Amino acid sequence: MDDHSFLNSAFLYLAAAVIAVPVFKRLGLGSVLGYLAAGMVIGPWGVAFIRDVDAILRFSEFGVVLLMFLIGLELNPKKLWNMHRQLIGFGSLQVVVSIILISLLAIIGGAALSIAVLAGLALALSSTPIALQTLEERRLLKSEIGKVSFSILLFQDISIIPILAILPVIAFNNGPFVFDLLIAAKVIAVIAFFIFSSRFLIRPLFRIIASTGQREVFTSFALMLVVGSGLLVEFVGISMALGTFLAGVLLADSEYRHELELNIEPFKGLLMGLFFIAVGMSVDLSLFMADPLWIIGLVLVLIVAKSLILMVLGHFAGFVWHEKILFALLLSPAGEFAFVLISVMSATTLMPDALAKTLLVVASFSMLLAPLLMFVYDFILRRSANVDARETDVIANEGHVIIAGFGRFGQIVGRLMLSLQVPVTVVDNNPTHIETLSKFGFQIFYGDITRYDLLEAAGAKDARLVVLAMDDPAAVQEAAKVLKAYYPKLTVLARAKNRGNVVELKELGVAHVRRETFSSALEIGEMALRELGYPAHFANRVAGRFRRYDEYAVDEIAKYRGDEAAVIDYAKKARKQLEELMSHDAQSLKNDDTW
Amino acid sequence: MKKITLIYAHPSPHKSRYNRSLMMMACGLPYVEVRDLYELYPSMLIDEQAEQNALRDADALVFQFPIYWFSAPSIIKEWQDAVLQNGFAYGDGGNVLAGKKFMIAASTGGSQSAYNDEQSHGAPVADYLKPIEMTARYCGMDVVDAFVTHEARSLDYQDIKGFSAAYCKALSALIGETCPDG
Repeated sequence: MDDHSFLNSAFLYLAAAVIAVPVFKRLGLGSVLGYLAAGMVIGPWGVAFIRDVDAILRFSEFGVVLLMFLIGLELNPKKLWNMHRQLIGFGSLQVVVSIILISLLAIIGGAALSIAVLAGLALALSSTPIALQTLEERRLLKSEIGKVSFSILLFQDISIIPILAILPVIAFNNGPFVFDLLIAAKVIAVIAFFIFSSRFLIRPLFRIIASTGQREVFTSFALMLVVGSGLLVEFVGISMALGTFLAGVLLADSEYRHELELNIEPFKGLLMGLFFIAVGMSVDLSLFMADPLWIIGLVLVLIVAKSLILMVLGHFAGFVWHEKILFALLLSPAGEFAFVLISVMSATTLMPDALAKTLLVVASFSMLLAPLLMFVYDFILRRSANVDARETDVIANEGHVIIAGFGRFGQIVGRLMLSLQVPVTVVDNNPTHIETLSKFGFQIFYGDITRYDLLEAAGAKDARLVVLAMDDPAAVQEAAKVLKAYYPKLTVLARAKNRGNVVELKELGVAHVRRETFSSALEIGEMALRELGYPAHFANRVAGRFRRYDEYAVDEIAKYRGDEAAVIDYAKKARKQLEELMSHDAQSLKNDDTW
Repeated sequence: MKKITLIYAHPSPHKSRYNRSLMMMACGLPYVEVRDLYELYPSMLIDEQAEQNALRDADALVFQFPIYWFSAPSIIKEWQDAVLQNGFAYGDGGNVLAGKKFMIAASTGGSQSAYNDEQSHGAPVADYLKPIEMTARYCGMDVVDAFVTHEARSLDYQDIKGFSAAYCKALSALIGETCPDG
């Protein structure tokens, strides 16, 4: 591929995605189907702009690797352990029963036992990208469906290792699988190396790189980390996806987690899109045209068989009927591992070529059909409109408070929250803050709060409040704007430098604004009054009155904003009013008509 | 329309069932303005201007509170000291409250039988409300019998519903209105 043809095809992919995805999203069909359709159009069986589908597919599979890394980042070891029951229970049931059922169906269809089992192995697994992309689009990742689906997908990713390990053994010596001690030792060594380096090597490196403030270096390092860990595990024979998932898990409680997510996310998005396009391109329409009913029949049998098993599992998970259907449609299509396994099988001559081709078409058509069925399901659900009373709990609401800026100001807010065990997420872009404070057990993330994607990563969607406590008034203002634009319902509290700031922030819809020095200055003033001989309670009341009046005056001034003369006029009037108010208080002190 | 200003004082509103239910009911009445003192003045610094303004156009004033230590919660006293000023509530030209109705709605933790001579609480609740009622009378107000509920903590949902309806009637009667729910 020379430079030019690379750019040509890059342009083609990007253009196809840019055209197809918005159209499909608008139609309510979801982005996955858009990519698939785009791939079918530009692929060898469409207008045939692209011919080397395999290369693209292999390259874009790295998107799946990045996806697994990001998923790992979401799960720290503790969370992972918490789901071990779902993982083993639902995961193993789905995989084993699906393999058995598909093999049985194949045998009924006239296949030999070994071929039937191979087909079962290839088609029992689901598509991680399709399922997760769909869950993400529907914001269901943290719901019960999301959790159960994810644990099944994770179990599948793990089970791919033994399957891939067994295949060549069956192919070449037909003997029993011999557990290779050397490989086991290598795997353990790599995992130990991961654990060690994530703590003692990667984090210090992140700190150094973050302190340079060079965004692209951080991005490069993040990508390097993922690619590196992928290559390392592949070297010892674990699938890249699983290896990077592991790397993600180990970095999940790192303070740079959100920033890592943000940097990897766009690459993942692009490559996943490319992956779906590649799948679309690999759909062999000529085989389909030869006998469309046969292919559609096979696809339906596959989806129905797997759906049945999933509906039963969904029943055990306590889903209501519409959740069960969604769950079944999410996980019933064959996945990207089908492509991997089928190509390995035909390469090792385990499977006749013609059958492999048919299975590939069935697999890709099932990936095409499931999103379509999902669309139909949505349509019917919306039409019938009497969705079950128990709605899917969309978000496991964390109800945390996001504090942006953890300097002298934000720390006080944060400590007050923590004294009542209010969960706090801190975002700060000063590496020294992060280093010192993470020692005290705060959950701190490195990054720039004015970026929408960071807000998203910090869970602004599920947050109860956001406190903007940064030093720089321009940054506070910018963040308030971004928050207002993307989360209009979220309550925002902000630190302001001066009166003008207060007015601007209030206009942006910030609920509570406080001037950073006002309260402490007022307290010093109160102390001064006491030193002058005023009674403590009196001084306290005067200071309180002063606060009330001054805050009222700031609100009033906001009304005259833009009219310089009116502001000055009002300010003069306000000072006079305040003097009157205060002299009234002072008078009451002198009055001796009390007893 | 005539208007009632209801001064509500509960230092731990999140723990109250009875008083909160009655207060929420009152909030729903179009002729009642509820002023939740602990919510308005968390540091007890009463804004007397705002409070006096809320009284000027009212035809009746109601204090609603739980009895603490044989008296009202402290912010009620703070309110009296700050708001009922010379020239407003008494003294020269101090006739703003004159002729308006006044009622206390008080709840107790102790039982009615305990509020008696020789019993643990010494005297009927009415005795302990006298200083507050006297203050109102001194300002020229027309004091109506207090709306008292005993053992408010042990009331169940049905009891509270009953008291809430009775309270609605008592409030409405102050200004000749009828309760929306009959």
